[in-house]
Amino acid sequence: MIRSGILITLSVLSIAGICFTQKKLTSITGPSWNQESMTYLPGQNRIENALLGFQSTVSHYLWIRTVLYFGSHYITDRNFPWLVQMVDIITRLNPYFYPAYEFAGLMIPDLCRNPDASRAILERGIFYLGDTRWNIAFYLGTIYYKYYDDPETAAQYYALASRVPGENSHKLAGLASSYYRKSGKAQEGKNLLLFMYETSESPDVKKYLKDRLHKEYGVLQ
Amino acid sequence: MNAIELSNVSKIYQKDFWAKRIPAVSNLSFIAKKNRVTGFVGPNGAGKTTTIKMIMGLVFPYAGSVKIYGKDSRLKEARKGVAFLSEQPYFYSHLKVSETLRFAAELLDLDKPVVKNEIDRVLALVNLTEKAGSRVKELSKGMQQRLNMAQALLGDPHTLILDEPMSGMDPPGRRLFRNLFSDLALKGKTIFFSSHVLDDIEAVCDDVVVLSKGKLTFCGEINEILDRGFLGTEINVSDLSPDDFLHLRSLNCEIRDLEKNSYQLFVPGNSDPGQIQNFLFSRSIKVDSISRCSMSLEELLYGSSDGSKDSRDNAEISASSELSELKT
Amino acid sequence: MKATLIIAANTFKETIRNKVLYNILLVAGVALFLSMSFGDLSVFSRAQVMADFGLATMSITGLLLAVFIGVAMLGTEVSSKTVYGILTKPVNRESFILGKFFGLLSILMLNFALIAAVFFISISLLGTSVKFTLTWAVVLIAVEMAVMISASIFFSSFTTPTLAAIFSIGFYIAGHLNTMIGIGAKQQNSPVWRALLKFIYYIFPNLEHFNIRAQVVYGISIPEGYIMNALFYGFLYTILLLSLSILFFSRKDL
Repeated sequence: MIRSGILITLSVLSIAGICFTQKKLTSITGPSWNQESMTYLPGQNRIENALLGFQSTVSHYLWIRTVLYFGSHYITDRNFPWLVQMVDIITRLNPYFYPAYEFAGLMIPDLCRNPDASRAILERGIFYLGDTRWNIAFYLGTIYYKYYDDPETAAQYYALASRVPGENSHKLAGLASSYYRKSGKAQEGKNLLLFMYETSESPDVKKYLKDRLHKEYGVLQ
Repeated sequence: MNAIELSNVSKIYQKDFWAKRIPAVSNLSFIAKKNRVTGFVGPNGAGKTTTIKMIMGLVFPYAGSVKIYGKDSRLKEARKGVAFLSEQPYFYSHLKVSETLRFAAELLDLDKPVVKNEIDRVLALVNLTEKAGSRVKELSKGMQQRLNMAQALLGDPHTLILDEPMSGMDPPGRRLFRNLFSDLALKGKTIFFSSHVLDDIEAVCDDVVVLSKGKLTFCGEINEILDRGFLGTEINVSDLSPDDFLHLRSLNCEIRDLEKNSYQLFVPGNSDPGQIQNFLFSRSIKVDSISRCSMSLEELLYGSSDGSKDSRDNAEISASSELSELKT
Repeated sequence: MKATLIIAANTFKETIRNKVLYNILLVAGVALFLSMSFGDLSVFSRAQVMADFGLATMSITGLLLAVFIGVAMLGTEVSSKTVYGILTKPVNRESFILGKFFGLLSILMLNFALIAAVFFISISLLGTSVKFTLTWAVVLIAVEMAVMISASIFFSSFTTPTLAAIFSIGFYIAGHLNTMIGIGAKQQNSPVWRALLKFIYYIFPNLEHFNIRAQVVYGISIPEGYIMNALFYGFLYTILLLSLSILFFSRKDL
């Protein structure tokens, strides 16, 4: 009885000490303590073999680590040396993991100052998700215009984005047309809008496209 | 003070939360006296091993108390000077025989200078001296059981609690153990052991505790239980006349023909053998031998196996049923 | 106390003759050897890769030892009943538990010393000096393994060897994911969920506190007081798990 009492008391005291020490350690180290180490993470095919079919599961786990990594660095040094590699590995392991492409399109070009890496990752995304997600082509278009000063390729990507069924596809087509005109390929822009106008069944879309064609190309009065 | 004392002990086993509760031992109370050899018997599943485990503190009773020399069996102090021999030998297979015994000796807190001598002594007692350097896994089952006995004898314990000590032993091994028990009993050790070999119990024990389906059926001196199986007296005589025959039969005596002119008289337990002896003496009839006829412990507990149909069988059956109703 | 030391010595002797130990050491040796070539795959120097990989090898080796031999220490002993030879002597059950813990801890320390010696020699051969922080990283891994040993003994005290091994590995994984639970707790709107997650965060071990590999490899300074607090944390957790082990084992029918 006494022995049990001593053991229970010891356990309770240990738990109290553990809680206190845990708090102390967390306060000493701060949010950026846990550094991500991707130093020697091998290439995708070697990782894939080791994962025994759990690529999708691991990609989800890595995504959580990526978000935590991003958050901890965003509120501290705004330096993200490993972000590109992490997003790259996630999209290699699970090419259908859309949020990673969002990250690649929105964060990597500006915050990591690496539009090339972003472009490479997004082009992979176009292959797997190009038919279902307009954003990927859209981000690519933005990168080409903003960082490579290539409005023609930007227009092509916006046109690709407009082909994905959705309520904004006509607006994307309008954007593509603007960039075609900027690159001196006005005819391509006009053909794109006309094709969309003729194939669309929605009166609102038709009105929008008609107005645009009239304003920019002087047709369909 | 008694060596072992159980008071209203019950033990219930339940494999997991949803499983049925199985009572192994119910309301068990008995004592094993100091400096006596007590046998612990019962059929398979009677609860003998559970009881012994409770005595050694390996298993805890659901209700009641178990004491060794007045101390709660759960305390380590209760096990000082008390040796245990399990039914099967359980050793660390990688250790050598001498290392196993040295480990046991250290746990018994034996003084360092005496450990080596003590190990040699116990190995000699069980005839395992030449195997001191062998690994336990290299020993046969019988040798391992002897090693088991050797570790129980370390430190010259005053009490030995043995669970089926002769299980798996060959005849020479069994003889060795029997002789050991006799020597230990002569030295005044307290021995409490369970066994299925009832001949051993009869031969060695002073007292016996009988268990059946987790309940006590008898606890007392072995002679007491054997007396209950007393069938009668056998008197071998020679040269009886026909008148002698008639008279003896009138005294409720059975007469059996042996060789020529020799007869065996059986005086049932409920008859007075003194009357028969007086008659024989008065008639100057030559008495060759007189012996008690009792049922063996096995017959008392489990009945006869041959199913023979004479008056003695009837006596056996009535004695067995009487035994099953006995309470301490 | 004497019985504890006797049981610890016997455990040490018994384990040192166990072939599993040598297989694990062999794996560790091979992994350390291979880590020398991993530097070529990396953008960082060979010494840094070796340091990181060497520490990871020690951690995994320690985990394998703690789980597989730790579970055998208690779980297999109970199932094979070799524990009868000890507990039928005048020996407390707590002496048995503590003896097993110290026996296995001593084996682990011996193995760590061997692997660490090979590790430090390899680092020196690459022309890099062994930093003080590297030694502390090894010490913290050893403390983490002490916690793991006490965890496997704890699980073995009330369940079967197989389940104890599974729980121990789960304990290790949960311990390394504990930080995410803490972050999740902060993001919860429901006070009930927040309180529950916070409770789990504090009660479950945070084995990441013993992981300073990245700091050591990248030369990041370790805050003052961190090492001592981490050691104290490991000590407290070991005490907790051993106390609970003794509590459970004292009531166990053998």
